[in-house]
Amino acid sequence: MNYIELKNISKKFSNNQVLKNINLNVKSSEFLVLVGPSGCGKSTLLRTIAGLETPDSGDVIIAGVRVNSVQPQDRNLAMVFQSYALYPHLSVYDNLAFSLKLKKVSDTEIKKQVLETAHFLQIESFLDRKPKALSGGQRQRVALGRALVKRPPLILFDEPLSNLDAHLRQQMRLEIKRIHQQMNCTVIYVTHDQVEATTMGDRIVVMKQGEIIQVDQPTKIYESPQNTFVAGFIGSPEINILSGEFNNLKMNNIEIGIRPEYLRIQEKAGYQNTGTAVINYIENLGSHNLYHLTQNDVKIRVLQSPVEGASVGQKIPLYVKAEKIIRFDAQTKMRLQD
Amino acid sequence: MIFQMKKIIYLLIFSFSFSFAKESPTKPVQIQIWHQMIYSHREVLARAITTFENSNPGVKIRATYRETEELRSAFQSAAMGGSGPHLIYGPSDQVGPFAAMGLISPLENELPTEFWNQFDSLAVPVYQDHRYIVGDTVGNHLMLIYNRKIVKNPPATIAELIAQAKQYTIDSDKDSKINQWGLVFNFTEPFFFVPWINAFGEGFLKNQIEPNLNTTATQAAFTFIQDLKIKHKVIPPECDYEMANSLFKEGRAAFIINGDWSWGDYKEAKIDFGIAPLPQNEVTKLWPAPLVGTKGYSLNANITDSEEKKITLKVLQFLTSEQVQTLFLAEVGTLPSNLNLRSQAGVKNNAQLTASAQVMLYGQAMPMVPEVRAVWDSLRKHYQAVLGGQELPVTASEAAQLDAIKQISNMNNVTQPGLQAKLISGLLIVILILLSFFLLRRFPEFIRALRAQPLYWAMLLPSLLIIFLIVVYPFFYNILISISNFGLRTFKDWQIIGLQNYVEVFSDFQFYSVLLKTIIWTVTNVATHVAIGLALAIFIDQLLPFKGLWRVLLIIPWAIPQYITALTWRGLFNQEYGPINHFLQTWFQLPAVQWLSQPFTTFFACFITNVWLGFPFMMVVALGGLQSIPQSLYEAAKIDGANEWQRFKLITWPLLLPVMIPAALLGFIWTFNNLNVVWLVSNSGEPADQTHILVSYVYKSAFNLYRYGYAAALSLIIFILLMAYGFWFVHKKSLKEKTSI
Amino acid sequence: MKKIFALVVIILFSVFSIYPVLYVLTVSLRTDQAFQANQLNFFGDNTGFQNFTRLITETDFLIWFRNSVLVSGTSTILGVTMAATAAYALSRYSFKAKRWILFSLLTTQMFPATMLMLPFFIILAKLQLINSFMGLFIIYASTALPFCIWQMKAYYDTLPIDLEEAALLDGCSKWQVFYKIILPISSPALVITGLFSFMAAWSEYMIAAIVLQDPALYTLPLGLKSFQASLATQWGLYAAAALIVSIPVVLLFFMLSRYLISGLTVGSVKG
Repeated sequence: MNYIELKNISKKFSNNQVLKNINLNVKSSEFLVLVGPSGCGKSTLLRTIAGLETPDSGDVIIAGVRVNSVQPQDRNLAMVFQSYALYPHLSVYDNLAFSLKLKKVSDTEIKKQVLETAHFLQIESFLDRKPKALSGGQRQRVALGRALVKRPPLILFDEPLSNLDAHLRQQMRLEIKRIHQQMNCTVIYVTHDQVEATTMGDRIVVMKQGEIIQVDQPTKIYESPQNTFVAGFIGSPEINILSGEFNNLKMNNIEIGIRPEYLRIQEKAGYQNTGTAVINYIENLGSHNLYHLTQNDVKIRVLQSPVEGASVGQKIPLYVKAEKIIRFDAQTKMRLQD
Repeated sequence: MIFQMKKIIYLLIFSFSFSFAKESPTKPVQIQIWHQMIYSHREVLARAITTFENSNPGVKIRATYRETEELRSAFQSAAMGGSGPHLIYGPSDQVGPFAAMGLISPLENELPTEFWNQFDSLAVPVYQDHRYIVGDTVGNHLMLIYNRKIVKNPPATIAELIAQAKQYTIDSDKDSKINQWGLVFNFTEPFFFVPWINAFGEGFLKNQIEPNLNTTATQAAFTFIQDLKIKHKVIPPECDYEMANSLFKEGRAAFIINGDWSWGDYKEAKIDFGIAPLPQNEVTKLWPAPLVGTKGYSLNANITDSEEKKITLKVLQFLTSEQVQTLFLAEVGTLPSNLNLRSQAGVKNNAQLTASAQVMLYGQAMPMVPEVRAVWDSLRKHYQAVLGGQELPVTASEAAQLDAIKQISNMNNVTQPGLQAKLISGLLIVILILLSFFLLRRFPEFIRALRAQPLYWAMLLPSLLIIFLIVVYPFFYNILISISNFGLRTFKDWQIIGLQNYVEVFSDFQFYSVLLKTIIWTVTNVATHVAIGLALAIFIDQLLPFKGLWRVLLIIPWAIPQYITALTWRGLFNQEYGPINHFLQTWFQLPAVQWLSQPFTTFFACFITNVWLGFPFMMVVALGGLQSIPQSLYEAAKIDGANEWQRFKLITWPLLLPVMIPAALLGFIWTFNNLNVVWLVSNSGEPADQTHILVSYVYKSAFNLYRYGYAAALSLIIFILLMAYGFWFVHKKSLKEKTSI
Repeated sequence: MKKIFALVVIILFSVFSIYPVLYVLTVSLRTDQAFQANQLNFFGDNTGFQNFTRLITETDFLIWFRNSVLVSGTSTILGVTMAATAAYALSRYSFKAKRWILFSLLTTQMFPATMLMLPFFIILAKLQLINSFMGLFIIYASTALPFCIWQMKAYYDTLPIDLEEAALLDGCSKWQVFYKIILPISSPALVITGLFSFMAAWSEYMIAAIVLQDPALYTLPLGLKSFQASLATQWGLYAAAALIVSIPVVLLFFMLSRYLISGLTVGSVKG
């Protein structure tokens, strides 16, 4: 069942068309990620759903009701901001209780809900502190708590983790997923980090310059990207997009996409030899190495477990898992069906 | 680069300013004269000066105009500090105070007897057996001046005056605004009032020095003026000197009561005017007795160099000579003080002068003693209260008498140092000793700190030093004065006496009432400024386009210099001419309000002026604060369910407090201490000295009433009050911050 | 709608702000020396720029103007220089007496002016600075100092110390750090401080009246006051002069209002 339906949403800022005729359905209880490079319109789309922006045209339908003219506070949703937007003059407790106080919930009930949420997020120990006395990660969780305390059916996240260090980010990703599972709410999550997108989302919406390029499950997007943009955007390290000649394919009018993990410089079952290449540079990624090669003046990256003896300048054989080759139309950049 | 340039510019200006800044007498000797001559007279003076300079190369004369009251206080300050002009020219009533303070020198031994003999005795009055002033004109008295186009025969009695005035008070276009008044004069000023007392009985002074205000004559005179205003309706309800003068010059008044100094002005305005004595009281058969005085030159006591003194006296003799007096006579028609000239045709054939001389016969001599100031002051206060309807004539005259006596004793009483003085002086010395010990002990530490961070101290010390000199030192000096008997009589030799001044402050009922007024004044002002500033800031920031435009328009009041603002608003509230009354009458059909003659409305006028001045600052601060509240907070609140009012109450207001609170505190202090607005709009506390806040009250005590010790004590008390309030305020705020809202 | 209400209120207050100025303008354009102007009639039968021309040609107005520029400018430069340096020292250096000094700076704002006038005068007289610009420079610069130091210090407090540490490592002496790094980036605060000092000096009357006695040295406020006599004010000239006196300050305000708003709140709201 669709919890949210967006129909033909368009929005312009000054002379900039930020959203171009967006159509999107969000299923109930799904974790939907909006991802794309900066300026693609993902935040604007999120804010449109929240009611903080009004679309120039189109309909926003939440739970079957057209809410274009409904104020944010009446849309029964919660939002976690990139900057957390915690009320600096209120304690953590009061920050969490804010929305409940406005609804005139009784003090005892407020206390119960706030403590529950605080316990859930493990922030009980600093309920009486003010935001400026908290670390980044703690503030993050308070921002989360503020959203959760309302038990909303829909939570919107606007790049909430971009201000945290790598370690914390990983932790919080799990937290947020856990919350989603336990609360069974609908989540729309905006990020520019494709790793976040692929690890967290039930479905990913890839956006570019105000348009939705592809909406699908992460694995499908990974394996069958709609076009070279999506292929290049999703997947780390980035996919190799090659033109010219490769693997005995003469490529007029097509471009080839092959992910580094489907290339090797050492033999393995399932991989075909596809010529030789010269090693330019070796990046050590811990469990794997990323080998930067050149073959026939074409730059290719290969990801595999470290090979002993491989060194810069060396000429080595190149192997490819042929069935993972994706072909794109050289003009339209769209994926060609096999 | 810019800063290097700045340094150079500074150096340039610095040296440049030296070139013409200091008044160093090099080749030509410069004689400074301060005077209060009206502008038509000034031109004549300038000509006389040029004549002297031409025949005396090597002497330059600089004449500076200052308005009478200011002349007095400026000369006082200057002479007290050991400088000031060589000669001061003003009315004879200034002589008493100046002589008492030792600021002017006796002249009877400096000039030969023949010199003195050529003058009318009124022009060279004696004060305490000395001659301090040489007058070049006699008169300066009030008379009834009438517009010959309107009045054919001047009235001889008061009844006739009233009848004629009634006849000539006309509302020609029937718009219930009077177009022509029968009589105009500056009736609220004692100088214009006291002559009438004599028409009803005893005059206002006994033996030239004692106040005599508690008389039926005074009460009758009070009633007389009131009747003119309310019963006969022949004088404008509010009429200051300005207005009376303007009305007469425009030909919109039949009679004006004014002095000989105004003739030049009326001639220039081409009014054909006649002169008559103030009319006789037909009931008592007594005549009003205008004060006759002289205006003349006095010698600054600080001029001690014999060469300089010689030249100065030469100038004095020249400016009072027959030659110069003739010039004045011809140009502006003043009555010369030189007796020889009196018999000349120029005087004899001058109708005005003859008439004026006649008037003088009825007059009384202008007293010179400093006590007169006290009499003026107490009379003014109660007289204005009667006119404003707050006091009855009977009670007013009694109160005025008591007040005058009290003020005179204040002025004259020199409290001699007694036991208290010894105790306090002893205490001071002990404190000083302790302080020096304390500092001495810290001294090596100080030197160490200096050595450790020479740069920082180099940056800090100049400022600290100057602040100490200019701000801290006067503060302690003020404390010293407050425990001394520094006053009119003890100008040069004051002594520490103890805490009597403080006792006086705290036992004065006026202090508490003025304090209360000040607090109410300050609180209402600051609250209004903040409310308006905040509201406007929110409108501009959140609701309207063209932010830049509004910001600029609404900041203008703050930019205009305060003294200009105060005087302008005073004019706006003028009862007869001010646009505010005009606006009220034409658009709201309300009667004209006498803004400046009743205490409450005067305060209100000051309040409006101060609001005009004060809201831009609060608006600017609020705008700054608003800009620093991140938009996302509002968005989060929206999503949390807050409506517009709740967002203001729960987000905007608490986050603005840290910015508005210091601003409000500053505003409180500034408003509490702001002398300009109240003083200038109410014209020194009128009506009846009711429009005072603490600072203006202090100013008046010090500079008008010579009660320096009292004023210093009061200043210190004001300061302590403010400090205490500041402390309490900050303490309360930090308490609030500890407990969350 | 809220917006309309806000607009109406703003317009009302704008009129309130401007009306007295317009009034003075009409008085200045009248050729008689009267203060009566019941309406704002700009183009009555009395209109003319006479007052302005008379002001410039017949009075010492230009002299006063030059004097005011000189006095205000110099005291501003003096004041800003001293405030900028002293505040920096207070901001970066901690020493025992610091709190006392800061506190006393604040309390100097509370002195009623009446307390200081007589002692000022006596000090200046003793130092022979009466009737000289020097006396005014000193007094103006120093009475504005406490406030300016307070403002500058608040600003310096918001500058991160890393900048200075980097400069030190690059080889700057402490003075150079201040002069080459801190000062240039403090321009907003310097501008505000300068503006306040300038305005205070430009509009100051009472002290100037005490100090300056030679009319050749008069600053504008003194000159304007001389048009007034309780017995015959030349209102037209006065109004014309008042307008001209106010213009530089208003212009300065306009140009710097941006800085004003940010500068006054620097360091106060930390979000």
